[in-house]
Amino acid sequence: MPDTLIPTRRQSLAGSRSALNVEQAQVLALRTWHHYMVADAAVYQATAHQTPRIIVSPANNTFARLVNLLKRVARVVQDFSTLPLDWDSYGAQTIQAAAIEAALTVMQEPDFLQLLAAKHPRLAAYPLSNGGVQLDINGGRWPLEIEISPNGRLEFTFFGPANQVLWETYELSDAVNWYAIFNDE
Amino acid sequence: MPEAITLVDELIRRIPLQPSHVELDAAGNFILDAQERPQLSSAVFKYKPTHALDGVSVDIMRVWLTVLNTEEQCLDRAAFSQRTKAGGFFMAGLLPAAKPQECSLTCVPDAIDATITEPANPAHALILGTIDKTTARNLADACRLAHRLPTGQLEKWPAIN
Repeated sequence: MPDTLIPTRRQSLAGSRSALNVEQAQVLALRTWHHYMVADAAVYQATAHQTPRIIVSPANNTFARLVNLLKRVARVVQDFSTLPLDWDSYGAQTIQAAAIEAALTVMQEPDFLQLLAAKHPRLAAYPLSNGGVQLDINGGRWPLEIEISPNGRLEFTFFGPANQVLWETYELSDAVNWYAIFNDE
Repeated sequence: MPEAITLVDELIRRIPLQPSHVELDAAGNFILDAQERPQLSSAVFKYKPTHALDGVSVDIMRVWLTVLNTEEQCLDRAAFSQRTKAGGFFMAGLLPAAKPQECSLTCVPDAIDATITEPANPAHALILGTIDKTTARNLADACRLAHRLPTGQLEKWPAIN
């Protein structure tokens, strides 16, 4: 592709030394934007043949990691249904279907992703001796526990550095709000 | 007459390895905390007593040491003397007796006599009291996973003190 068809950014800026009215400035801005697009497209075309590339943006990569984490923990939660009575040898109850269902449901909520740290999301599921399920979320500023009772009721609890309770709520939307507040501090 | 539990005693608690009570990474290895220790979930100590004499079961290390020779044998006994009902392994957690008492809980000896199906457990004790969420987390933080599986059962096991 001839060089003349690919205006450089230096050339585009060099032409705007004299004072412009608003209309001229808008035209120039559009032209400059268009030149950038043309230049970028040309660079892409010139290099695309060299090696096949898979372009994964950081955003997509993070999302894929979150999805994999959720899938992995969902399998763990599903396996709780196979735990027999007294699974901990101290008389634990079997994990109730309502608790398992509630855990899987909350993990499928779009808002749930907002409780997971973007950089190093950590989520783990544990059975409770009373037949409930607990989800532990770490990786953010303060840890969060979601305790799910045997009848499927959720309780979100944020903890401070000395394990003191910072906030408790039964609603996912509240937990998302408080997560944002605690992590903005 | 059972001996009282002192502040320097160590309490042993069986913790199922399957399902894990320590957070695992995608490869199935323990995620370690800043001190290079596996972080035990508070779920281990979440227990709601149904009556005043209902509590968290533990064994007193000192009592087992009068029967067994070494601390390692005591931990072996706790971890390997039985499997979970699903056939999985246990690991042993070591909890300083001072910790429950620091959290306003009471530790009392509760020796168990032998039955037709179960052997005697002279070291059995109970942690009595209400375990709230903060207490459960504090107990889990103070509990050291102090045992390993037999060679070959698990490739990576955190350092043992």
